[in-house]
Amino acid sequence: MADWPPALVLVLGGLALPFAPARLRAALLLGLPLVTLALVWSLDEGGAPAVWNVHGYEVVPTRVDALGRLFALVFAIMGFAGALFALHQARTLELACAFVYAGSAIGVALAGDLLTLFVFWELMALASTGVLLAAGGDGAFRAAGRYFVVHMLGGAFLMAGVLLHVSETGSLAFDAMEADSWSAWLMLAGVLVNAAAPPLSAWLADAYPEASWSGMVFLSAFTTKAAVYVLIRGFPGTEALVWIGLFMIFYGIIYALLENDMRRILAYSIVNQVGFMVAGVGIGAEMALNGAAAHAFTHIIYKALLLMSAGSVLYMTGRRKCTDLGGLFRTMPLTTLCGTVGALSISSFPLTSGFVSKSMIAQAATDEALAVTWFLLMAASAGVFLHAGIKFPWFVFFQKDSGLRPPDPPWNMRAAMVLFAALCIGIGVWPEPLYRLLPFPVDYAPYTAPHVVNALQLLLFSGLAFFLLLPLMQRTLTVTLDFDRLWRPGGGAPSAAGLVGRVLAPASAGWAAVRARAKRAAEAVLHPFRPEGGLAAAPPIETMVRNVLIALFLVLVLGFFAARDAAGDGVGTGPGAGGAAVAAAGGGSAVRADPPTTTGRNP
Amino acid sequence: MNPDADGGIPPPTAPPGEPVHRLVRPRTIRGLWIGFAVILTALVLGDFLVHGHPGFGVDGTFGFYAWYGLGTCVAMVLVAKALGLVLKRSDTYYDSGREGGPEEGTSVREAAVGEENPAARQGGSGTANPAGRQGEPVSTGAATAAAVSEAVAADGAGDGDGGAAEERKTVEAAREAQAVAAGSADAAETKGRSASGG
Repeated sequence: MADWPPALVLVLGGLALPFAPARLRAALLLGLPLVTLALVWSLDEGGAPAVWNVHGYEVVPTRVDALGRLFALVFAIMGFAGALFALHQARTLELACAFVYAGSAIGVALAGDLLTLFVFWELMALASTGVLLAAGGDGAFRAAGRYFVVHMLGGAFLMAGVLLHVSETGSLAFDAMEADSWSAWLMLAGVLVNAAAPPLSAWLADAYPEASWSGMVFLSAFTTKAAVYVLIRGFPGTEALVWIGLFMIFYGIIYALLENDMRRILAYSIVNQVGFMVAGVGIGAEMALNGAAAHAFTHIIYKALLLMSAGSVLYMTGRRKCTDLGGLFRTMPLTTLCGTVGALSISSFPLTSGFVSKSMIAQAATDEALAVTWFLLMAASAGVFLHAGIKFPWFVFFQKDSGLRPPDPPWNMRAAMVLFAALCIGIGVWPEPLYRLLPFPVDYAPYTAPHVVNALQLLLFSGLAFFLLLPLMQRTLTVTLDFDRLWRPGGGAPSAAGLVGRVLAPASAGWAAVRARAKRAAEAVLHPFRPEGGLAAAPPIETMVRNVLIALFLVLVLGFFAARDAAGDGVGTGPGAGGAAVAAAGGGSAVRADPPTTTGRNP
Repeated sequence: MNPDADGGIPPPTAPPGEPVHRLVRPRTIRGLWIGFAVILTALVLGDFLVHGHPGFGVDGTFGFYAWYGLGTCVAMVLVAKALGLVLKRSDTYYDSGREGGPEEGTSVREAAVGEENPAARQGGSGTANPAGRQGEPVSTGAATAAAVSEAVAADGAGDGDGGAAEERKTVEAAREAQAVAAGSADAAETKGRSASGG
């Protein structure tokens, strides 16, 4: 029993969920994540992992160490809070998929070999697509399709990398790798697709906001953070990751600043926050890896909290655009409070969870004397407050009065928000329990007087910039183009695909003409054989008799000439005569194809 | 009695004669600005009291984090604004131009039969409230549509971006209509030909 991965509780439980009787539903929804949490908590870090022999390869379904356990724990916590938030979600399909999704994320975190990792990785892609599809509607369907294609591409990269790696080394072991071979590059590319790294960052902000009010809470947590986990485990200190991470950070800020949909703002800020983690992995020092792991832990909690508050607003108002919202603090005080706590945490305000995790990454940049990285990280920290810390709560809960007066959401949604808000503050005030869970020993004190003063200066002057530039920040009814424009249909403005199309337009017109002509020619040949064609008609009996007579006459004449040729040429031309007879028969049948066109005019 | 987002119950709105909330009265807002200024000043002056361990020299100078935070944020907003001029599109951008003519590879007959469909689909997406994709209550559709047009008008007055987007949309619609017409003409031609052939 101990051999089986704890992930299976949620995976199998999720699959059973649609068949469970209604009165057990709430118990299963809340119980399964708690059981998983207890199982993960009780995993023994010292014990030797069980090894399965699969066709001569060593498969380790459950490897327990501090790093994997940290991620498995936060995934289980997220599963519980998400289920609590979604307790009244009528779409059981979404909840079932969300459980399989959470379970397979835990499976990834505890996978001791590349095969187990890959299986749970693909299961995650399938289940998350299910969460998206469960939202229903045309937009969600299309977004789920685009999402699925991108993740299958990432999965294909990962699989190719794993296969190449196994063929080179003969081992499935999943340990730190150097990005210096094709197998490692392919695996890295596959993982980076899931981390929403460029150039395929667009899938995240494209797909997640199409999920239901509860679906996006689940979606925000697992895929990107499981990718961060694999990066920490597999590619620590890969320098390219620093620059990829910094790109993601600023991409997230700029696109979130331009965005109008409240949940898309938060989606872009996921890319931004994962950028901090990826950059931390790239720095590669113990402090940086600790920071990346801790930041993933806190990020899952405060991002889920932000999306729960956004989900509550969507649930209560049915609106998702900042231009339709505003002034909700009057009647949704608890949602406003919890959303603000989440916003302060993501901005890493002192006394919130973001402060104790993100600052470790910046500290690592200082320790490693990476000046450019450090200055960019500082600018980004200010930018986070700008695009998520103030912008989200300001445009949703404050700014102009939209006239809407919805109450706070039902008790279970409030409870989930309060739980996560308490965790945000709790971790921020007492970081030691989190620090003890980190993969390396922590020698870091976040609360020093200069650090607090510096952080507050940076953040509050960033806030000043927001309010001074408020006229420039007004929301417009727009979307922002991204790389996905290249393969996404729609729109009439110039794009790479559109330009190519325009250049090829004359060629494609010519091609269409050729096709039409070919079609017409084929139709002319095939027409007699169609139901309305001549061959399928029933000609009168006298026509048949006449045709047979003509055919027999032709055979007779041709046979006569053939016999005469044979007589003239002398001996041994028997086969020639036979060939002529066959040709004559063929000619007869060719002639027979003709008459029906005349029968049409016959009566 | 949970007004589900997908259920279609419109959210309650402000009752008539509701008093202005304390937090948004001009006096409160002025007070908040004064408080904010006091805090900012205190924080900058706090640099006299605390001395950190600057890693790169300049980050230990007086008020570094204050001007750096302010400056980089202004820069990011301006960069975003500039990029927005290039990259922003109307938020119905991906909804338009989705339905083309007959699909590649369908036979002539199928195209002729499916000829009615694009028009029907056009009508469907035309009447649907673009803001209602996430199951927005139908009864609020009118209000939202009004808000949308208002915002578009405001935006157009603001920087002309919205107006341009509108124009693009109409161009797109015209192009689409053309495509549909061409498709049906083609289908009619093949139909007539097959009738004369048979």
